[in-house]
Amino acid sequence: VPEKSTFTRRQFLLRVAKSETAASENQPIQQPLFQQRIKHIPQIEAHHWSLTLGGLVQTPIFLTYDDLLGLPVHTMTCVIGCINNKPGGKFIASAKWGGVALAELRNQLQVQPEARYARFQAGDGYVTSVKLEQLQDALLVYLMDDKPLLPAHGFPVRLIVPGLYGYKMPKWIQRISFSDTPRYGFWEEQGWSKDGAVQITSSILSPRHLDPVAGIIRLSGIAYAGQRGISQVEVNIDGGGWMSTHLIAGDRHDWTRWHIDWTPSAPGDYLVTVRATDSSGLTQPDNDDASVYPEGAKGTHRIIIRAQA
Amino acid sequence: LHQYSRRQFLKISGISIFGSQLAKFPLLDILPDFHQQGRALTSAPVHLYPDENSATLTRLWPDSVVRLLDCQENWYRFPGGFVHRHNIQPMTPLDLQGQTSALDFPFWGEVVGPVAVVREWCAADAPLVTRIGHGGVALITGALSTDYDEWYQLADENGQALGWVQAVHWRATTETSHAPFSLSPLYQRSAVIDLKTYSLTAFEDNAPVLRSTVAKGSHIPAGVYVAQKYTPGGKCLNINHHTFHAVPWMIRFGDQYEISSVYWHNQFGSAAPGSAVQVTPLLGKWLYHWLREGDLIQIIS
Repeated sequence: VPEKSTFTRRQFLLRVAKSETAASENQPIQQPLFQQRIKHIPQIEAHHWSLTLGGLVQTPIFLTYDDLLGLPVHTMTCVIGCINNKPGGKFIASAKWGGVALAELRNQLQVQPEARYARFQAGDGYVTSVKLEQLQDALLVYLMDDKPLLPAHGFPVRLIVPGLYGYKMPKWIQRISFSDTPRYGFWEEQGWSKDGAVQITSSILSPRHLDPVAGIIRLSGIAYAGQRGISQVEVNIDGGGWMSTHLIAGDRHDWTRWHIDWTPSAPGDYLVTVRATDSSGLTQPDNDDASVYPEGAKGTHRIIIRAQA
Repeated sequence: LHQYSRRQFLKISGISIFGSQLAKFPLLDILPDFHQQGRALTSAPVHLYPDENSATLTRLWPDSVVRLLDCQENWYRFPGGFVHRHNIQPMTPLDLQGQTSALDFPFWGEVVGPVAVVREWCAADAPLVTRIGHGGVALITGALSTDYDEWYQLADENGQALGWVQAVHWRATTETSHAPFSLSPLYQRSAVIDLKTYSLTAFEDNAPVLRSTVAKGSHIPAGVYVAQKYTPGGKCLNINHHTFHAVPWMIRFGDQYEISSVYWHNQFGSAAPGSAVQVTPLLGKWLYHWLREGDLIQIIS
């Protein structure tokens, strides 16, 4: 269960108001949260919205938006990435999320032992199912970076699950049903992974591809392996040996930042490759396979940097 | 194969092991610490003291170039600490000024940067073919300029295309600037390689003019052999399932043995897998230009 912090409704509103002017200097890696392009973003009004939790439970729950805000608030910084994100792609971001712990709601619901999945139904008709064991740290969030969710990001409530791709975290949630069988939606029916567990990924954020550089160069970026965590990030120049980088671990579900300094010994183009190893010892394969179907990209991120005299 | 006894060899080549001329000619000793720069052969640990048990301060980037201050037995000292000799390839100072004159293709080129990465086509993200370390030599058969830089096409010793490299890391080979003595072309030249002491001594008549350290590879019987010039570069060697391209300055002797220059280790003074006699590219280049076909090579083992 993520870090817990409880707010009254008044405190919550005050915090939202303050956060609108808060500076973000504590987050040096700014990667705006991407959006899946859909034709019609549901425009849901809070006072018309409700959430029903039922299925294989002893006590179904019906929540209004105010009811939800009255529950204990949990916050966590968590990465959300698209399964369609190629190595080094921009469809991955980290944000601070705030909302209700699904685990606490499950305790209230008294979910029956036969239940193995939670089915999520969204306001745009999207459905998906997630295994219960994957939902240990899940939040039903209504805050993103201390501000209420925008409609494009799922207002009033979306699911955030550490270690899953974005298509397993539906927005605009209206109904959650616990079941012994899954019900899969648009993406799974097209053959994408049913589990949606993230692959190990690592990216070079600085310098950028084809950037001219000189002198001592600080190579830096991010790595992420979901719940498994990152144990090592290595960088390779032009097929030489791998060098371990310095890691700066973030929150438990955030990405790991890395950096290392390197001095080119001569002008020219250099191929820089990054790879990460998760806490189980699994390392990204040393190839540039950018194929994302059906389980997400597994290959390494590579860029060319142009060293100048 | 010409087999001579040691006595016959000494008689033929005019070398006396007690030669009184020794003192008259200073030796040029091409030792690994002759240079002032070194290339990290691997992600080498940098120690606080010349002792593997001392604290590790950092690690060197593979193929990074460091300035060597001095060498203490098996340890190089550089501004950041101490690195074991086996992890550093001494190299001649980098010249980043580029080619100074127009070149006619093909020509033999040598790697003057720490490493040259060979790719299938002219782009840094093209598939990797191989990596050639400092001192490697290959036949350069053509050039292509892109918007940003110039690329050379490489070929092996037989003229077969190998791939493309960035030209900035290459120069046309020249006669070594370290050729020391060449007292007279009339003098008989010979090399004595003592594999017990891992030393190579070059003689002009009975005067030693150069002494350096070698590595011992595959077995070679003691004896006297005739040198056959082979190829300045482009040779491919498979050693312990690893393929090294553009192996430079190959001298064949006794039909089946070779002196080869190696850019992938610095274990001179000991045994190392590979050719029967292994030398640094700098020494190999000097030997290749100095030793003539028909000169004698004596192996002591």
